[in-house]
Formats: sequence, structure tokens, C-alpha cells
Amino acid sequence: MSNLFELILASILNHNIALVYILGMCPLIAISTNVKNAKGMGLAVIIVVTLTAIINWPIYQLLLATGTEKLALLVFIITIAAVVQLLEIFMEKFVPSMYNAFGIFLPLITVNCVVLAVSLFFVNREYTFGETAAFGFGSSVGWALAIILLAGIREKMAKISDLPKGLQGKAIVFIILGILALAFIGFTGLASI
Amino acid sequence: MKQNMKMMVFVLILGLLTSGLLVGVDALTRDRIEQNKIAQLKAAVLDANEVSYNFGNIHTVFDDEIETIVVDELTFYLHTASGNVSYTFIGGGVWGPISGVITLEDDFETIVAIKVLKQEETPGLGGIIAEAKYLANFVGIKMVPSLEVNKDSSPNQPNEVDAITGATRTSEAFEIIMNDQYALYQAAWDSREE
Amino acid sequence: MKWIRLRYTKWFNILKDGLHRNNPIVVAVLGICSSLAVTNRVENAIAMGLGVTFVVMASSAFISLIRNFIPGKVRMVTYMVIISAFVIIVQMFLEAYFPSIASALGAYVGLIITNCIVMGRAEAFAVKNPVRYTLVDGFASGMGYTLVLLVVSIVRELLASGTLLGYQIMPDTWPNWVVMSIAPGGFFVLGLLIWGIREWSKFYETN
Repeated sequence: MSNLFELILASILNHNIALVYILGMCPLIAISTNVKNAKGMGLAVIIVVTLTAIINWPIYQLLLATGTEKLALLVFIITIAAVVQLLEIFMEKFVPSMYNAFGIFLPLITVNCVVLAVSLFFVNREYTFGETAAFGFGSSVGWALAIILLAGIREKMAKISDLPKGLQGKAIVFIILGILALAFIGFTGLASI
Repeated sequence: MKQNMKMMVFVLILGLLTSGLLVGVDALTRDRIEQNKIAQLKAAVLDANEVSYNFGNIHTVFDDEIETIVVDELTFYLHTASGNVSYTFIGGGVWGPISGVITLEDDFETIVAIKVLKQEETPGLGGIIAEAKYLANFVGIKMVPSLEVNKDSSPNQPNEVDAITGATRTSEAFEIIMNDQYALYQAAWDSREE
Repeated sequence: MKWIRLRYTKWFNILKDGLHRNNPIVVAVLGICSSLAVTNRVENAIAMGLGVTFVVMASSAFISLIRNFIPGKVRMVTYMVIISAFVIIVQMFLEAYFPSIASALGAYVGLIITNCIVMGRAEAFAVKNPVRYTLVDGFASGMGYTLVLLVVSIVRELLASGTLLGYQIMPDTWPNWVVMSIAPGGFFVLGLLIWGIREWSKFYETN
């Protein structure tokens, strides 16, 4: 149990999938203009990534058993798309309030590298089911943490900083991300994955 | 509902077609890829023992000079002339598996050469783990008590190697792979001596 | 005579678009993940740039071919499946017939599959345009991407190890700016580059 807790801690901090592995940058940059959107996207990512990690693990075991691991990447892409589609339909019908909050982000998550990367990582590192679930949850929480941090800084900067016009938008986001990534290097060696 | 059905059917057909294509190409190329891998492995062992060969006679030279010994399902490649022993190592890197061949002297402690055959680390950073220039640092290093990757500026002990600057995680992962595989292969090699 | 000139203009505009006005990295901000990883050395940047150009051209052309058969909602999945299948097949061929090239490019394969540019061009252009224009657009986006990669990698390699393409440029006393070889360095150079280009071309982000 303590091993799982350490895994979650590691995937949020010193193995943060956004600020240490630099994955999922496109949606990170696009949806971080304000904290409200960031929270919505972060929540959506947490749900989708954890769900797909849990679903892909038994599917991969099946692929291993039939000797067709070469198709793993393809199968993962299809299951991820299916999960997202089903989730959208489910949310629209049964929890419309949640759907209004972050439903629009769901299609964007299909192409978020984080979802696929989590599945590929558990294959590479030969995690057990529990470890996969913990890793998926932790990584997505880490990504959500990164986007909320970034959104908070951007929102504040938009109000009080006098940025040159060329820096506004994507340019300053990269500089902020660079500083955040540097800061997260400070967590190295905190917990093992 | 009809639209959903159409979608499902399309994705299913697409999935089946591409899977079929992948499995087909895999079947076509599997043998050649396997042969290439075997050739790479033999080349690595022969290079470490400084045996000369060329593309045409690599297999005969290998059979002449190297004795393949299997102990407990682990394969060792013994160079009969010098007593050097080689074995393949594999383990998890940061982004994917790192695998290669390590050659030790007959004391099964001192490194003669390491060659990394496959890795998926960041090119130019963790990827340096596969470069000959970096792996040359390992020559003459001892695997006992255990191989250590040195991150600070203290002078290196006989069992220490410098880490790759800026690629701490890959260096640490490589250290773990080396030591884990060494423990495994050393136990098997010792049990054989008896 | 007039017909040829018209064609020439459309192709030229697409080319110019991909390289400058709609440059994938600087303007559309696509393909960031990979550009950070491979711009630590010029040779990696060139390899990645050429690889992406090839994949974008080929996969976009194929998607453009079947564009009338793809149901609306599953566009994204279709792109991903086609692109990954294509990249994997290319990799298998390389491993079988050109193993030395395959081992050099091994790490890029994953990066190319998830490169947003490939998906982005498929969605924005390939699915709406005939094959011949798609090929030009793919080439232009790929080259625009390669150009930015080159500039960033030249700065990073020079500062991080004092070399360019492996040749020592800086004097031996140059203290290597290791931060330039890891991700934060890439972020900083890219951010400053975008700032510079936007000020120079007066092409600002509309608020």
C-alpha cells in the first residue's frame, strides 16, 4: 500500500508528466488562459486518464496472452477514443451540470499525448493493475496541477503585468513553463516510481 | 442511433484493416528483423573481444571464437581465447527499455566493454547512454560491490562512473539495470563453476 | 498561359503559408512536445524535421484520398489510427532493411506519432482539400517546422556544449550551459524566439 502511495506522490511531483516529461503541452498551452477553464480541463483529464488506464491494462494482458502485443498502440488509441465518446454520451444524459462544466474539453483529450503516454508507460514498466491505476491517477493529477498553476500565473499576469505585445500570448507562456519546469527539477529523488 | 452505428462500423473496419496491415507487415519482416538483431548481437560480442570479421563471415567467425553457454536459461558468450564473458542485459529506461551487451573479464568483475543496442531515451540527452564515447568511461570499471553512477564532483572510485549531465534519470535507470542484471547473471555463472 | 500562372500562385501561397504566415510552431503553436526534446542538438533537429515532413506529407495525402468517407465524429480517431499505423509500418521496414538508420531514429518514432502537427494539418487541411494541394501543404508545414527546429537547436547546442553538428565551435574555456540541454532551456529559447519573430513581423496575438 505504501508503495502505491509513493507511486502517486512520485507521479505528481518528481515525475510530473507535464513539467518533467513535457507531455500534453498543446492542450496545456491552449486551455490555461483562466483558472476556471483549467480546473475543468484538469478534472476531465483526471477522469479520462484514470479510466483509460484501468481499462487498457486488462486489454493489454489479453494482447500478451494471444501474442499480439505489436497491436498495442493501435488498440489503445481505439479504446481511448471509445471511452471518451461513451463518457461524453453518459455525461450529457446523466450529469448535465458536469457536462456543461467541462464536456467541451472531452474531444480534445483524445489527442492529448498524456492519455496515450500513460498507457505506453505502464506497458514499458510492467506495472501491476494497482500500480497502473495509481500511476494513471497520479499522472493526471500532476498534469491538472501543472495546468492550474500555469493558468493562475497567466491570469494574474494579464491583470497586473505590462507585457510587451510580442511577449503576450504564447511567448510568455513558454517562459513561465520553463521556470515551472526548472522549479520541479527540485523534486528529483523525492519518491521512486 | 443510425449515425452512431455508422461511426462504430467505420472505426471497426478501420481498426481491422490497419491491424491486418500491421500483422501482415510484421509477418513479412519478422524474420529479417530477427536476423538483424542476431547479427548485431554477434557483432557487439566480437567487437568487445577485438576479433575482426566482415559482413560475409561474421557467423563462421563467431562460431569459431565464441562458445555459447546456457545456464538456467541465461545465455553467456565465452571468448575461448581470452576468457572474457559476455551477456545481454535489458531493463526499463525512462522512456522505454534499454538493452545491450556487456563483456566482462574472466574474473567476472571488470568491464571490458558495454554496447547499448536498443534504447528510447531522449536523443542527445539520455540517448548519450548509447554513445560509444560515453560507454568508453565504463572500460576497466569494477561491478563489485556494485556499479555506481556518480553525480557529484568527487573523484571516482574503481566502481564509479560519471552520470550524464542533465540526464540524471536515465543514468540512474541504467545503474539499476546494470546491477540487477549483474546479480542475476553472476549467480548463474557462479553456480556453473561448481 | 494564364491557367499555369493561376496554378503556380495557389501552390506558392500554400508554401508561403506553411513556412511563414501559418508556421506550425511560431504561429499555430503545434508540435511543441517534440520540438523541446529534439532541439538539444542540430543533428537531432534535422532528423526529426525530415521525419515529420515525410510523415505529414504521406499521411495527409492518404487522409485526403479518403476524406469523403470519414464520418464527422470519428475524424480524430481516424487520423491517429492512420498516422500511427503508417509510422509503425515505416519503422518495421527500416528495422528489416536499414537497421542502422532504424536504431538512429528509434526514439523519434514515438515523438512523431504524437506530434500535433501531423494531426493538425490533417484536420485543418487534408480533410478538406485534394491530394496535390495537401502534399504541398504538408511539405510547407514540415519545412516551417524544420526551420524553427533548426534555429532553436543551433542556439541550444552552441550554448549547451559549444558544438554545432558535433564540431567544436566555442573555445575550450566555454562553461557549458547545461540548462540549455534540458527541457527548461528549450522553453526559454522558444519563448524568446517567438517574441523576436512576432516583434519583427508585427504579427501579434489578438487578445
